[in-house]
Amino acid sequence: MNEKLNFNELSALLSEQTGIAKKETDRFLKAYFSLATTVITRGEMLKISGLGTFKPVWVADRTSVNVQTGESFKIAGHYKLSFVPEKVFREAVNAPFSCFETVVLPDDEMRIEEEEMVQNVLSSERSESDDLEGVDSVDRIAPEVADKERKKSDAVLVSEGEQERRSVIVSDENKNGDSVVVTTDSEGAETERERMEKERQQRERSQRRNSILKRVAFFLLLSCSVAIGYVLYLIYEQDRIFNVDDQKETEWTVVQEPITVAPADSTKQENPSFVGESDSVREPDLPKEIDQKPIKETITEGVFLTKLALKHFGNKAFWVYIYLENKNDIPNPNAIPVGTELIIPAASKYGIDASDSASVAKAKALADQMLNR
Amino acid sequence: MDSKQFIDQLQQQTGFDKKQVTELVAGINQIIRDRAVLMDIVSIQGFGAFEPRKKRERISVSPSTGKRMLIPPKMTVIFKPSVTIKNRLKDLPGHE
Repeated sequence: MNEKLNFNELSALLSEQTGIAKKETDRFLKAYFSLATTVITRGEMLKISGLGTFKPVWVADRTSVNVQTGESFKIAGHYKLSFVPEKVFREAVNAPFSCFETVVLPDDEMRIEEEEMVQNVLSSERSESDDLEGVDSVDRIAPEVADKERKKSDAVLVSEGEQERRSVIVSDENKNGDSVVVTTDSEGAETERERMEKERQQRERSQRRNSILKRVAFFLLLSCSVAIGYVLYLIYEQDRIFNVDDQKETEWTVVQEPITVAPADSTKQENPSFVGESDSVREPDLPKEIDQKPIKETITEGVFLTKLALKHFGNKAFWVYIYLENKNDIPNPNAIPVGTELIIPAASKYGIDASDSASVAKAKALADQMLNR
Repeated sequence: MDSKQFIDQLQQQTGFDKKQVTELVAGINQIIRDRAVLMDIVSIQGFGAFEPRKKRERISVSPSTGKRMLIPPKMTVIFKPSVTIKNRLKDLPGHE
């Protein structure tokens, strides 16, 4: 690495390689280079296959300025030697970097790239170990960033994009100052490894950017499909409810409509004689029930027919029977005034059975009828 | 002068047979190439030096399309002619 090979060493290597005595190779090499020199200095082009082409190129007159005095002077036209290595040679030397290709980049991305380049140069200038640490930390951060990305919604992503744009602007502002640093950094000062390191970083960055973009696209797709699926499910569910179970709906409306009431004491009376009196007035069938523990309830705030039904019969649907029982006292089953005393009928009277779905369905159908009347 | 003429002239000057000359020229080129790959400089007094150089990546604008492009870094070999060759080239009669 970076050794300098002179004529003698070249000759020794050549003699080793071809098996010809070193004296002979010395002689041959001398002839080789002197011939090349004479050909070139004659102003002729010299092409050696396997190596490249030497060609004297004419440089035209030009004017230049003396840096010290500021006087302009003329540089006379002259020949300079150009050497173009052959393709095999070129590719062999460039093998470590052969994976790179010229990339045409959109403006925004290119600016970021430039900024990264500047950062890379600065970090590599600091020290190589620092550089390595930097790479590691970036690697460690990467998964976290990905996780965050996953959790974020579309809106957040948009705002992120704005941030990126802002950072681009900032980088533009910084660029002028930084680029001076880049140009002052001489090429020779950098070691090959630093350069490789930088290349690796750059590649990693672009890969990361790609993967993040991919991830974002994937999650957008995923969230879209989930939303569509949910909407379809909702539509399906609603159809099912409306078609199959209209009664349920109406029941819910009953439950949801509160009865406007003022505070009052809830008194649960078990007075057979009193009930008997009132019942005898309203219902002719009731005397039978009187023997079977007729129950009285007073409507208080927050107490609805459905609540009573649930309490006494085990299912809200049976409210309709309580309503039927006290029809005369209740002008509107959805708004019963507070303090109204109600008689809870015996379960056997209407064939109330919470565990029997047919009975529940019957009650619902009846309630439907009542409300639609 | 192309490669064939160059080898012919070498053969005349050194007196080796053609096969040997071809072999030697190929050998020299091979050594220079191998050394350049290892980032070694091959310097021959009176002729010049073959030096591998690293070229920094750069952004250039394509003159035809006007698009800015990132040119990747690369390694190339440059030939630094010796002072004798340079001076002799300078002393060549002017161009046209």
